[in-house]
Amino acid sequence: MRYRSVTDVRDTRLLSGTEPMEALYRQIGPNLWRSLLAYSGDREIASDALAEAFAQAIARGDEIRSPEPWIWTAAFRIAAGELARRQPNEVGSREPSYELPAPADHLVSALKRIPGNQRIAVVMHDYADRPTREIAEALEISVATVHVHLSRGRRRLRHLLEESDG
Amino acid sequence: MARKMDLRPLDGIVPPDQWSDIERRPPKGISFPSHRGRTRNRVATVVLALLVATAGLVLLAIAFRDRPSAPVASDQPTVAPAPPELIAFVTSNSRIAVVAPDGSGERVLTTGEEGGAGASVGAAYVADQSPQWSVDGTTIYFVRVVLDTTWLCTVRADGSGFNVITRHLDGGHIVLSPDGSLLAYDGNDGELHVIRNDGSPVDIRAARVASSGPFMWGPDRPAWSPDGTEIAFAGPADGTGRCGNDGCALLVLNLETGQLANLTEDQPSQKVVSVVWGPDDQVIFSSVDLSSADGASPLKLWTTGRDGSGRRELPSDGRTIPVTYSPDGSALLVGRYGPFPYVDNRGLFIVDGSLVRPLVSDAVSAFGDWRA
Repeated sequence: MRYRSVTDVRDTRLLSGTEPMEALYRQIGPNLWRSLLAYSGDREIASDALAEAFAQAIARGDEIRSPEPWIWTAAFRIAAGELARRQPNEVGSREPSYELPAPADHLVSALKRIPGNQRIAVVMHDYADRPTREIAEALEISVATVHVHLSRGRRRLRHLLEESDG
Repeated sequence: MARKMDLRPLDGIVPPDQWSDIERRPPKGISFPSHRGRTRNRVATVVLALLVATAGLVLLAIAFRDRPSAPVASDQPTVAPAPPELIAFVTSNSRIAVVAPDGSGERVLTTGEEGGAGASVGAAYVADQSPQWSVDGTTIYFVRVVLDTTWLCTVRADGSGFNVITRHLDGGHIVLSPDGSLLAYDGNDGELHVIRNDGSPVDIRAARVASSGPFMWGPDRPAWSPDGTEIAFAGPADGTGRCGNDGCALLVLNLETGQLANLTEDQPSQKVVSVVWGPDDQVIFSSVDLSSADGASPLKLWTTGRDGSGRRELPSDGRTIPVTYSPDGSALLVGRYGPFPYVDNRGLFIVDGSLVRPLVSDAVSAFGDWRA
């Protein structure tokens, strides 16, 4: 899954105001939201993190040279901050606010059981196809550590999915 | 490269359309300019931001000047340090570079191609980080991340003589001991490691550095005491827990006794980042408050004695972390970020007794080392 470079959108002089950002939202918003939901397991956190990241990007305007990676990084940091702020029993113990399709529900449940950094690495890399450097920036860790999280996260997730299938 | 997980079932989830909410939403702590008067508001916002940033940095300068053990500050503008002083840093595209403390002579030393790194995986997957000057000031040690491996490398101050010490460091941030014979680093296994500067092993009592908490800020860089007997670092408060959700303490490991002391035990909700040990034996570090109600906690700046005594918060702009001291301890190199969520690198600044001045803007805010 590869996205068109965001500079293609920002360099379009015919667009003005928040239109470039709306175009970017239409382009990356759905996958970003699904990724945030897969990471947080919480629809409210996913929606809030996505909206906050876009709102901050809009407020910063031209200050941000590459909005797409900026928004991905910001949204995951905001979601991680919200998860960290909440008490452990608040996250994952809520009644689901809506039904997920069965295969996705199965996957999100398994993802909830792997550590946070591994979850971010697996979701951002394997689902959203984000580069490891961007994931390293989101987590403020080295690229090498991202690969460690990816490797461990995949192994653990495979084990959990096989366990539940068996 | 390992096989990706098949996460395509997530495609079956239907996301909400939030655009109308986003357009109306004021971001946390940032004013949203209306279409009417947009230009005027933008100018006002920029002016206000500059004033706030200047005020924050001036406060930081005042705080630094007022440190009891710091040299007496001059009221006159700082004279540029002697020419031999050179600061190694990391450019925003992850290459090692040097610059004089007065901002002159900036020069990029690495390309990512050295050692066959770029040719093997593509230069975009090669990232250099964590530069450290050798004691004699002729050589820079640094970490080269090549896809999923980390190398320990050296390069001379003029960019020549690239050398790989090991292609299996398995860690991210290195710090040389004061005598230059040892290197401490945060291992990918979550342990604090020490090796000789030639890459050979040294037997020390290991300590946990950090684990898989979801809220990681700043480098996991350890810091040597000036006498070389202790290492300070940010780690899980209980030695085994997660450095993130449960806070992250300022720990000091005594290399002779193996004793581990927690200097921020009374602040369990603080996550400590970017620990720097000054030549005057004061430890300076940043932290974020994980219990902050709105999740947008500012980066606080602290100073403390090596035993935890005299800890106090220093005024700052809420987006600054310490990076390293000047060799004589009279100035501090700091890195700044954009506002919450601290995604934007704003480069490196020098804080000394009388002023704060930008050094390089095209830099990763977390790294730097100052040669005598």
